[in-house]
Amino acid sequence: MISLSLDETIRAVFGIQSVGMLISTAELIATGELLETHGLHSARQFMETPGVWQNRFVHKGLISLATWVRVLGSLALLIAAVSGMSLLLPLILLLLASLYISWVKKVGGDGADQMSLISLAAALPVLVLEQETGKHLFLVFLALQACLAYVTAGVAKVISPVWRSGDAIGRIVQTSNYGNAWSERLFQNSHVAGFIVCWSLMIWEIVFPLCLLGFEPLTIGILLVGCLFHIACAITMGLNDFFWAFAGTYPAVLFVAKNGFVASS
Amino acid sequence: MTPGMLVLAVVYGTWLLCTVAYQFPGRLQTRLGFFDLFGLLPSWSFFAPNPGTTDYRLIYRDFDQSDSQSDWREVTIYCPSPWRAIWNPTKHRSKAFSDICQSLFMTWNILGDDLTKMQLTWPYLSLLAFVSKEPQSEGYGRRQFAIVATSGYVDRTMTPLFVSAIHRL
Repeated sequence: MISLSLDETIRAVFGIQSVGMLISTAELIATGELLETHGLHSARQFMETPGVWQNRFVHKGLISLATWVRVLGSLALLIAAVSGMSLLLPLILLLLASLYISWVKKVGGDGADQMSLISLAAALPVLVLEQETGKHLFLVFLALQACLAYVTAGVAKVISPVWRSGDAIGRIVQTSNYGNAWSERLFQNSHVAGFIVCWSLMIWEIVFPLCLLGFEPLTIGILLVGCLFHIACAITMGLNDFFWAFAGTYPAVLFVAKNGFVASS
Repeated sequence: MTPGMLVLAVVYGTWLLCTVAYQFPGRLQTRLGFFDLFGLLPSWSFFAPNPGTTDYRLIYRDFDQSDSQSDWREVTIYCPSPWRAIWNPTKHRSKAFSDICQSLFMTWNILGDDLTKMQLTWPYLSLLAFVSKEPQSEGYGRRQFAIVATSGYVDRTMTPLFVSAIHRL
């Protein structure tokens, strides 16, 4: 079994996740979406009651600052994770910026944003307190969040007639948003391919928690499938940040699979 | 385990339990969501149980003083790129648009097709503000927008879902 210490595992988690946060925030800066006065991300202005105190904290200067802090924080966290420097300050900056952006951005968030934010928020007390037990607890929490994410997704699919029939994947990739012409043709020409993909995905998601059992070939196999799945989603559906956010939890899963749920004294 | 670590374990455990509870639509999810200002309670049911199988598209047309109408034009939401596996900035706009449309249709159902009340809701106002930024033709001073659903990347079908009132620009 791949063997990482507590600190190495935490660095691996944030080394991977920080890449996704860096890309995602750079994308937001490149499009200027968050700063457009009447852009889609300014929907908040129509939700809030005028004069409420929160509105004082929502203006372009702060939003611009937060996005740049998030970019620089992601980069700093990546460098710290790789170089062995302290993760604490970059994580604090990144967390504060991410919380603010999440609060301001009422629409447009996705699962990758959520997983990254959860990782940052959950890690903060652990990095402040610097106790081995706390670090172990954090990795257990993150591994369980990953398992919960996949099992929930799998169960939600299994109860759906569209997914059980094998039609779901073909219908999703025929959209401009999450598909492309070649994948539409693939699943249009072969219902069997769609059926196999749908059921493979559902089964893999539901059995994901089995990787915590500690049986190395099973753990590695499930996580490898996960990497391939997220790469396929990035290529086919444009969900590029999901790979980094979710693969970033895999070091935690590996650690818990090897070391168990309880820290050894 | 020290008291501090015990507190941490309780926090993590509570967070996980709340996450589990949040996956089930209903009153508990609504109550938990009320307190979740920063989005720390995730929704993990990706593309299920009802996967998105259509694209929502935003179109608009303009009116002049004699009520003569321009052609319907589409606001660009989707710009797929061959590099989107690595770099996909347009996904932020398309996700925001999709979220607003979902809220629009939910609100429309609740209000029972009352367009007057609909014009005061945040999804409607967000889309109106967004579509009003599009260039206007000379002589046309009013605008109407609509949401249509399309499916099929190659052979496209189209279904109108919502048509707004006519607004002065």
